[in-house]
Amino acid sequence: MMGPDAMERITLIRRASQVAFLLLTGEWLTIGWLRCPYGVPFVSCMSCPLRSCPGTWLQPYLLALIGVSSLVIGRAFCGWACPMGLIEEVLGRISRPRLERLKGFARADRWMKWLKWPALAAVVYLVFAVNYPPGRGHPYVVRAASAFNLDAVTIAWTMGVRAYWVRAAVLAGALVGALVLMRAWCRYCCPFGALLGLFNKISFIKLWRDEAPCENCGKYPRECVQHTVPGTTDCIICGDCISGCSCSAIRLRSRGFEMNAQPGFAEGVERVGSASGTG
Amino acid sequence: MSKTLVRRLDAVLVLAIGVAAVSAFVWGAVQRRDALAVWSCGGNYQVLSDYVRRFERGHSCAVNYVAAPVQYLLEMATYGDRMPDAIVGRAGPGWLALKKEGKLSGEPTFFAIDPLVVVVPADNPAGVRGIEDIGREGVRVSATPDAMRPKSKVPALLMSALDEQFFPGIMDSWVRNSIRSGKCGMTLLEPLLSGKADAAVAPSSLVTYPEYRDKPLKLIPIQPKHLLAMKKGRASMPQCAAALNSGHKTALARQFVEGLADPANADLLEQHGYLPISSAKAEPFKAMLEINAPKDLAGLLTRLGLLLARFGADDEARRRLLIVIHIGGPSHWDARARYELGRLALESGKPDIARHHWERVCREFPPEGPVEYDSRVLQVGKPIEGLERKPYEHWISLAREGLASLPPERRTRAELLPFPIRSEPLTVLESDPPKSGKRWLTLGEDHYRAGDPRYAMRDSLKVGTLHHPSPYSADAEYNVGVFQAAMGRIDLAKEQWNRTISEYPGSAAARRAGRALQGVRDMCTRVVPSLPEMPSWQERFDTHPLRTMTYGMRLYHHGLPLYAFKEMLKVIHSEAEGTDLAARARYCAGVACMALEWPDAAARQWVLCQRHYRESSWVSKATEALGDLPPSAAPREIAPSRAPEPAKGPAQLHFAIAEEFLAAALFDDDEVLLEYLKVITTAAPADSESPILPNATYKAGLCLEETARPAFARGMYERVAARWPDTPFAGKARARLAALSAPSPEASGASS
Repeated sequence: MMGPDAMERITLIRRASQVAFLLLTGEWLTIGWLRCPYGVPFVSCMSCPLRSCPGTWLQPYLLALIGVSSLVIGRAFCGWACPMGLIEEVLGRISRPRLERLKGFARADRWMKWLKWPALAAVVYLVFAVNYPPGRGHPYVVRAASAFNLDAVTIAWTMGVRAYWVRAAVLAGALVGALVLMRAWCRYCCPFGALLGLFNKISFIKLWRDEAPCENCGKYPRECVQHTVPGTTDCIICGDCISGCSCSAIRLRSRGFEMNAQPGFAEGVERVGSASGTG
Repeated sequence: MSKTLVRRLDAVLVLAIGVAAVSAFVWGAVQRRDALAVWSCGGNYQVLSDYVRRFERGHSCAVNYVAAPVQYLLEMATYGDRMPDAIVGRAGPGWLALKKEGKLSGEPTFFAIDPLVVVVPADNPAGVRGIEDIGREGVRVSATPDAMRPKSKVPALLMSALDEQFFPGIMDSWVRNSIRSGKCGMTLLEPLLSGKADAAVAPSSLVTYPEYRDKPLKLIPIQPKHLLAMKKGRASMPQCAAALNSGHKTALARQFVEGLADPANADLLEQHGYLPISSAKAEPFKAMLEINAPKDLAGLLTRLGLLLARFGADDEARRRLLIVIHIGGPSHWDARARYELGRLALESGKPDIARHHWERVCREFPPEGPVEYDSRVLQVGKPIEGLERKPYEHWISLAREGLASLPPERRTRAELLPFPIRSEPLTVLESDPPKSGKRWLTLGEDHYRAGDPRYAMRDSLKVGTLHHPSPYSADAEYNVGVFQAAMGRIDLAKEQWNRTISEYPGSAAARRAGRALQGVRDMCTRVVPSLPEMPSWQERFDTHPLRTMTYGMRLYHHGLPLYAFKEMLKVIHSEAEGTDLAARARYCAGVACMALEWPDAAARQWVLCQRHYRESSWVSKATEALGDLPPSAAPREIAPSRAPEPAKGPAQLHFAIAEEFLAAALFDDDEVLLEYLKVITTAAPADSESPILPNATYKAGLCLEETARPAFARGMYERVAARWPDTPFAGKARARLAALSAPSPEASGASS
């Protein structure tokens, strides 16, 4: 059985990974939310005329990485790399949201988790049918050498393109949501998360709950950042439950052999990395 | 490690992320305070980025440079609360707006030309040699109609100018050959690299962008005379820069601007595909170096439509207002035009049509997203009567009120339009070439929806004749059949649909024509009197007069002799190739007059045919026709002994046509009044002092008087007397005013 120290260690490793990704993609994230010329950001980067945005060169590498990692370990990108996830999670940790403990929350939570599917459908519709499909550009582009150029941001916002305002409102909503509910955006709205969640069903490595030793204490999903059961499409494979489960009922399992999560998840991750050659 | 460690770490992370984000923006703001703020057109981004670095090194200063669609930047700089120290962009009307607001520090400096060029793949598979080959059948041309002006509307305007002055038909051939690339102008050349297109018309700077630099592309220059043929739109080629009165950095901003025009930086401009203003290559383009506000065509058309409506010429008013939308648009005038169309329909007892227009006002306005024509910068010098911004709101609210006051809908859509056309209207884009086949097609369809198949037919017939070979010809030909059927002329409709099937086999229009033929198999045609026979004509499209003749002949064939007569007059007053075509047009004009039961006017046309074209074979036909006339028919005015000179410009052409009508004393259908009003609205600034304007205004007054609208005639005469007091027309106008003021004998008798 793992103690709290091991759990802390996993979270610390996860944080280090998330911060590294934030540093790598921070500028892209800023431009994407604040002045991406497309209605749906982070999608059409390779055809975007905004060449000063790192997304135009970073996107293919990141897409390849996400693709491979999703096939190997499902939605782990959300838990280990997504910078929005990091920001939401740290906001949630410090504000200690207690919304989950409200009476009737569990029922509402079950229903609200379905929201991300219409969100995904809406994004797919916007990207491919209405808005600006990949491979096409957008005429309302504001260019500047730096992502943090205030003039560029204000000009983009005053051009009257509705997408800028809608996106800013979505971002504000996501941040406020994170303060009142842990990873609210990821849980209920993130279309990309919904898409990656499907890989949890087909990935090479999965989280799995063993019914035999499980005492049904209810700690997970109660203490899960996603408030979910391991292995479902909502699970972000953060690993907290492996180390936090008092009866070691939650494990990583690959197609072919079971990963022994003990003595620590970190070691397990290393073994998976070397086994799949991505390590 | 304790459990609170993660929480503490997360608190530190929140703090760090927050501090990093805030300090990045604060750092940006601090830099901005000390830096020279430069805004430019997005198209200048590549060259300006390099120039900014050079300038920063040379002047030991920082430049805060942002590029975006220049009309938005100009709008912000002119009317907003943010202003850069220097601004760079094409020579559009925004500079006039800045000047008017007193924000320019000195005059704008022209520093380069970014000429349009033809771009082809290096191996040039289609063998394109110049701009004239863009319309050749089989040449696939990349186009980005949704992009910003220089890569969408400007090539279209160039094609329009070339069509008019050099290569008849090239505009619609270019539309036919176009392959739509992405929404962004940056994607314009991609189909050339992927083998999907053979050529593109693009600003030469585009080829130097990182995406296309070192790619197998070849530039074919467009001759300066061809580029200079373009009046509207050519402002996107000269590049301007100016320092603004922003405060303490004006001197540095001036250095920035002067540096752009400095021959020492010409190498940078050349690297990015520009012709530096100091180079010999820019010399032939010097005529472009001016800043003008474009003529507000839609505004003029709206005023003309409203004027006609005031005069009670409702048919022509309706047509003008639809032209505002389909030919002059899209513009901010569209909402008003559509509202007025509804009002006119209601006044003429057609609430269903009024409902159609007003519903469209409420549905289509305000347009979604930013549109260029909303920019106040483009309105410089042409304020929107009392409505500062978003003028649609006013018309939307009036349309809503109108809809609420309408009686409940009685007739269904099927009852209104028994023969269906396209259910969803085509969208006219800003970048659609002016007066292209697509625009006439949509205008025709809208006429039909508004319950006017006669005008619908008139405009739809233009697509396959004046705009041959438009890709919209098949649809237009099918529609003409629909309009004929709606007018009860089933035989002509069948003939038209058969023509659609035989000329455009395999097209969607041909399939619809086949279905339509099945649908009317058992229907009977309405009996209409047959028209006098026109001489046969083989359709030809090599020159504009030949196209006009083809159009006129088809109008006549479809039972529209009045409009056929007008087209014949256009052939006569255009630069017809040889006198034989003009002689034929004179003869045909006479036949059209006979169809209109105007024997005097027919006699005039045939007499003129005899006098002006003595060598032509048409003289004998004219003589024969004159012999067949009843003895009472005689031309009212002694004809000039020489054939007319070709009209120079639209105002002269309309004047000549109006004079022809007036000479024959033809006031029916308000055509003559319309032509004189067109002279007034289309006259170039150079015509303002020529006698054509007072003459046309005076004669418009005569027409109004002749058609029992003395109050409006008085207005015309007063305008002549006040505006041109030293011309002979002022004297005539005063005489007419006196005559109008004098009590009529009947009135004096009644009062006594």
